Amino acid sequence: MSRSLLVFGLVLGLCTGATLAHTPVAAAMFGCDDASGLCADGGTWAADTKMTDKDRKKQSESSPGSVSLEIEGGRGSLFVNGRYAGTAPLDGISVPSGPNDIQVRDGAQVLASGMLTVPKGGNVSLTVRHD
Amino acid sequence: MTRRSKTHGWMLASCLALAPAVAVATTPVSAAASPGAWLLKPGKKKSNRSKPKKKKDGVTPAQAADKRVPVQQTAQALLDSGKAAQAGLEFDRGAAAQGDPVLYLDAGDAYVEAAKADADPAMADAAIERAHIALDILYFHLDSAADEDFRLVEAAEVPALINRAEELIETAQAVQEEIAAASDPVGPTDAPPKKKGNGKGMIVAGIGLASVGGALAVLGVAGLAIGAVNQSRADKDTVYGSEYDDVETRGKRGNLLAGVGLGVGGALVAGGLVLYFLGKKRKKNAAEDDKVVRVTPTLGGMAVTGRF
Repeated sequence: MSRSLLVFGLVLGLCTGATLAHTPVAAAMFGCDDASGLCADGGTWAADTKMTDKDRKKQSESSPGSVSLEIEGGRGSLFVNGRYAGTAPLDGISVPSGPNDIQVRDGAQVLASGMLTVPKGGNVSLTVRHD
Repeated sequence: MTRRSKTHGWMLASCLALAPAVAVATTPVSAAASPGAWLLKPGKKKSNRSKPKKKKDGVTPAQAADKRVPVQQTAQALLDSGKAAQAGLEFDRGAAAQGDPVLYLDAGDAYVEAAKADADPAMADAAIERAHIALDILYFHLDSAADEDFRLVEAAEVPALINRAEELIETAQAVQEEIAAASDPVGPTDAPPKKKGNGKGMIVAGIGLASVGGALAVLGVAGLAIGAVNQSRADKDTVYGSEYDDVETRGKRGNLLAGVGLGVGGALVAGGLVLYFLGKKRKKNAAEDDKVVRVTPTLGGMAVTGRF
């Protein structure tokens, strides 16, 4: 009886942990561990990739999404499609849905660079690690 | 109407009809985009694939400089009247409109003036942050990822502006050190004064200690009762031999419990109450200290902090 209770408790604990690990709260608590230095929650991130003309055509300004940015262990500014978008922390910056060129930098140091695909009307939370 | 006059009429009508076409044919190419240009549209649509696509909202350095002028004039008037912090906010507003690094640097300069005037380190912090933002934008201007149609400064100006930003950071840091030295006459090497808490921790610790002490005191009272009961049993004539020894042992145990429980419990209750009242006093003092309103610039404008 006590053994089955122990097994049940272990399974319940593992399931709860696995579920919580995928929430934004957990991401904020445990930090970004992506090799590119940027974690995107709610969008698709491709590090060191630039938009092609074909990608640019997929952008839609009529149904934009939004981007939030948090930088762990430092500061930095966000540049979207070649222009300054703001300095972290940022919340709900409007961007075209579809692929977007993203760069996050602190002065001369590029913290993250790549292509972020934002869903229509969606909000993407970016967490960047400042090494 | 005679046949001759009919012929003249047709000629006049033909000339009138042809006149606009001749006029349009002699118009400069640059004027072809005027509202009447649709008249020139050929029947077959020309492909413009080979033409580079120019973005509608692009900005050249000259346009950015023109846009900067009214902001700088307004802010300069505020600076001249000694309102450096307000001038900084004005520069900030202009800078944020299109991410102009020059205006961010101007804002930083204004915040340094405000920091000096009011001996406010938060203003120096704001100046340093503006310089960092300017550096972000300036270095990005040199990056191939920057939008070629959106240029706020000439590439040749960037190195000088980077130097200006770095000097601004150094100046703001020097001002911060001056402010810190002025507010601490003993010297900057001394450790900063330890900030007193708001007393919440002391209140919680006091309540905790008093609770534990209370529990121990209850045990002590129980010990007293055990001791008294066993004492009365031991006094009876019918209790003797091994039974008397058991009663005596239980009685001693009860007395020990009473001594420890009442002694330690009482001390903990007293200590807990002292901590609780000290915490209450500190909380009251902290609340009065917090009744200070501060206005500091933030990236989104201005922040008012404090308790009202």
